[in-house]
Amino acid sequence: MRIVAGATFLLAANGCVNLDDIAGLSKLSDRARISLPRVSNDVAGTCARQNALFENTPQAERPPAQQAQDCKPYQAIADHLAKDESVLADYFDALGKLASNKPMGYVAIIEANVTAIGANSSLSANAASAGDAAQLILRSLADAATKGYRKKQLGQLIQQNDPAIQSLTQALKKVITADYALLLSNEELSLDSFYKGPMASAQPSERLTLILVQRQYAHDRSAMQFRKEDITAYGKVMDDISALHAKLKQEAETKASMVEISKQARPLVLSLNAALSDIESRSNQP
Amino acid sequence: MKTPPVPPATTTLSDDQMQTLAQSFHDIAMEIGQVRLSAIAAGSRLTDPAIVQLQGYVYSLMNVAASLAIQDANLTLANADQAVAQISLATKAADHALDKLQSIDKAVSIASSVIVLAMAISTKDPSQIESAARSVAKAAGLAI
Repeated sequence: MRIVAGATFLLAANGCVNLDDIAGLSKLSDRARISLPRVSNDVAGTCARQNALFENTPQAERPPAQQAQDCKPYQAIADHLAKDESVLADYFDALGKLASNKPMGYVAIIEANVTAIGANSSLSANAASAGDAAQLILRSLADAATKGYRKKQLGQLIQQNDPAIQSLTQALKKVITADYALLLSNEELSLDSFYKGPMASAQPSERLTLILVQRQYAHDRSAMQFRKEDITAYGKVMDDISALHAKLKQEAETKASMVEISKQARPLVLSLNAALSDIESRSNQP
Repeated sequence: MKTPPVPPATTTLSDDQMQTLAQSFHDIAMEIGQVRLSAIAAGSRLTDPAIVQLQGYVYSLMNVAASLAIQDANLTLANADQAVAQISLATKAADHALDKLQSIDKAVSIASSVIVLAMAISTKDPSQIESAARSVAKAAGLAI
């Protein structure tokens, strides 16, 4: 790690690197595009799992009128979050392209996304805030692409979009760390109701069955723990993206040198990568 | 000349207020679930009517909590701050009363009053909310 840091510093000092190399904007975009939906898609996943527990509960143990949950609102939130996260990834990809003097060139896709991400009045306040901020960023990207922004306009783009980036990251964080956390807590309660009741009333003759059920319960609890850890990592990713962008904005305003930007951004980039790796490692668990 | 009565101001609940309400209903579902499990551990059967009823309340309260968390960005209430304060006071009283409660009948009574409160919130009628919040507090042994 010291070697990489030293090399980055020397390259920066020599003026051979750009902001994309220092802040890892393109890499951040690629990794966020894969890792973030792994967490947010589970907003719909938790509903499906709770319904599976409900449907596997004998009818005599639940009120006859009780229905399984309608998962459509959960799916709507998950879909919406995926679009917002995609905007975040698109934005950092665009910054990376501009920093390395590549054309942005995807106006048509951006225009389509602006339409697709339109406000949905049935969403929670946090999800709606994220959607509003994502729309502002998309419009700004579309504008930048239309006007043919190049490297020299990079600082301008960062400054223009900082309020929306702060709003988007904090809204996404709240949806996951508050709203989704509550849904997972509901699932945890469903799990306990599903397993603990029958386990407490098991007969001595059901000893072996009880052991199998206890193992399955432990397995489900362990998966639940992974999801809770994902919530923490997701919140960290959003805080780090927010802090990194604020730092880039600050450096753009003072027209700081690449050496200075490298020094300021490096701890955030490392922290961000660690949090993304955290999510990736858990999603690779069997 | 008499001044015509001014209707109470209608306010959209803030994110934090929505989250507080969602968490309150979730916490009560947890407590009801615990009363149910304690009763089963003490010998009640999974199919006993009161146990089934408690399970139904757990499902319903979880659904209310989920709905408040993921939907209804535009939930507006007249005198929202006062309404949220009344609801919070009532649900805290219910949560406290349910903690370590052994009586199934008492748990059923508290849970059903909390379900009525959830339905009152969905009507957005301040008088219904106030009345339902009083019923929850009364069931929990608190007078407001």
